[in-house]
Amino acid sequence: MGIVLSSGDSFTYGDELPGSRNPEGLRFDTHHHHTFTHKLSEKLGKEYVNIGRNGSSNMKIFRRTMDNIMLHGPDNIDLLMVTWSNFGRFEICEPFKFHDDKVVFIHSESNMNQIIPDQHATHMELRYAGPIPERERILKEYVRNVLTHHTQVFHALNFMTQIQWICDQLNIPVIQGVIHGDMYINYLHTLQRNDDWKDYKHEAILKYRMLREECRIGFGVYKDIYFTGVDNGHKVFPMGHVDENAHTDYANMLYDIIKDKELLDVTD
Amino acid sequence: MLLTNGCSFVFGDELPGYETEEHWHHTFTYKLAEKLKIDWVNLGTCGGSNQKIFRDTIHYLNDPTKEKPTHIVILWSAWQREEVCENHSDDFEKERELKRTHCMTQISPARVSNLKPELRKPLDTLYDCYDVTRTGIIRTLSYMENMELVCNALGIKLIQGVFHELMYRNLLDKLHRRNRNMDWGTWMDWVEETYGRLPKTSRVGMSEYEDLYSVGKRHKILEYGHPDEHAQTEYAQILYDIFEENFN
Repeated sequence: MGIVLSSGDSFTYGDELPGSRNPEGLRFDTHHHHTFTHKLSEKLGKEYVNIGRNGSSNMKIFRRTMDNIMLHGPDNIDLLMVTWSNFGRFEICEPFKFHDDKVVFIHSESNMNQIIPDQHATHMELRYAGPIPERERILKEYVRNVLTHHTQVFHALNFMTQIQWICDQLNIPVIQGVIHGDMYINYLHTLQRNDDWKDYKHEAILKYRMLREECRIGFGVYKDIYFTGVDNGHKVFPMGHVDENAHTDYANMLYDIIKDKELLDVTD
Repeated sequence: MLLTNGCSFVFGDELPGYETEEHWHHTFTYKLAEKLKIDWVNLGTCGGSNQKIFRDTIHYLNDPTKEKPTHIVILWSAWQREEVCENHSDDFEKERELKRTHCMTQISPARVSNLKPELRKPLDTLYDCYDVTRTGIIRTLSYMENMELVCNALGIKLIQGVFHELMYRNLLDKLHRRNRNMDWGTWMDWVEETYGRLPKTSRVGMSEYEDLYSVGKRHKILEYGHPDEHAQTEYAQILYDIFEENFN
């Protein structure tokens, strides 16, 4: 029997759930049984590996997902579940990591520092980028003037269609979604503005339509994990993550999707 | 069918007739396909970043209307290249003699001039702030490993490598052991492990076989740095021998 491989950012990791954020490090966290990955795997009767990490950009999520497909072997994965992060995040290679990242439990890997702008409907804004003022100024200017939703949405749509297609070739059942329903609004915003961005719009719509419903959860179909929590009246923690009840409801919804789409042989 | 992808070296820039795209018979793609006695599709584009090369290759394979390849050759482009989505007027590409698809402008630290002026300065400054080459290496090696995985699953014979000798030199330089003491250790671990897993058919021009530029030096390097048609002929033979030696 194979595993459920679950990839994403802090929402997948289960940040702020009771037992997470152990000062001694990730491997001392005791929150895993509260996460939607654990709850869904339990319902499916399968072991799981959760490679979600706080602060992950979508490039990092894509890389780690593919690394882990190869590490575990496609034949040993019964279900791949990818929950994509906010579009604005990106990563750069630097010979240092910041204490501040440790404070908010951002996972450090391969010298790739994750840059995390705030995401608004039409633009992104970087409020803070570490304790080096000059670096922070440069990154802020880049986010303000160069980094657009168009670039980031385009790359994310490509990651999603690539994962869907690669999994199809490897016979791995796959479900994908986004952490926050506003990401769908961001995508729709990039399709506006009269005749501008014609080639982009054509390709973005094409890529979106290539995604099966179970590969765009919270992204125009079904509900994302954040709004699963908010709309059901569950608690949102100070850093914006949802509580265990939201994880339970989300796992139940994913289970129903898996059953409806006949991704796995599921019997109640 | 043979599918090739890469930058201008694969497209065949500067070969006789390239301006009107009547140069295809001079490219290694054409010559290799002839030796293999199969059809060919050349997805190479001038200035193409590795993000674009990977995206276009997967998109092609994912397109049910396209013939599926039996052989793939990918020559990955400079580590530093990437892309930015920009909106320009319809005339922009014609004026600049630049081919863009999906509004994605292909850029690198040496090529920001294709961007809108207001984007150039912040990008130039950003390039001074982080290690563009290392970022590109990690991204490209990840693509290379993904191509291995996909082609193995589909039974496609895959050769991949780099287009220029400088890329392997860049890689070796970044992997020099002195860098461990300069806090690049976790990057080096990931790169060494991933690179080490690639078979020799996926390291063409990187310790195995020759890159196209080096072959070109034995013949003629044209005005803007591209190898001539004799180099393309010799390279096609090298690739043919690699297919014969490793896949038959």
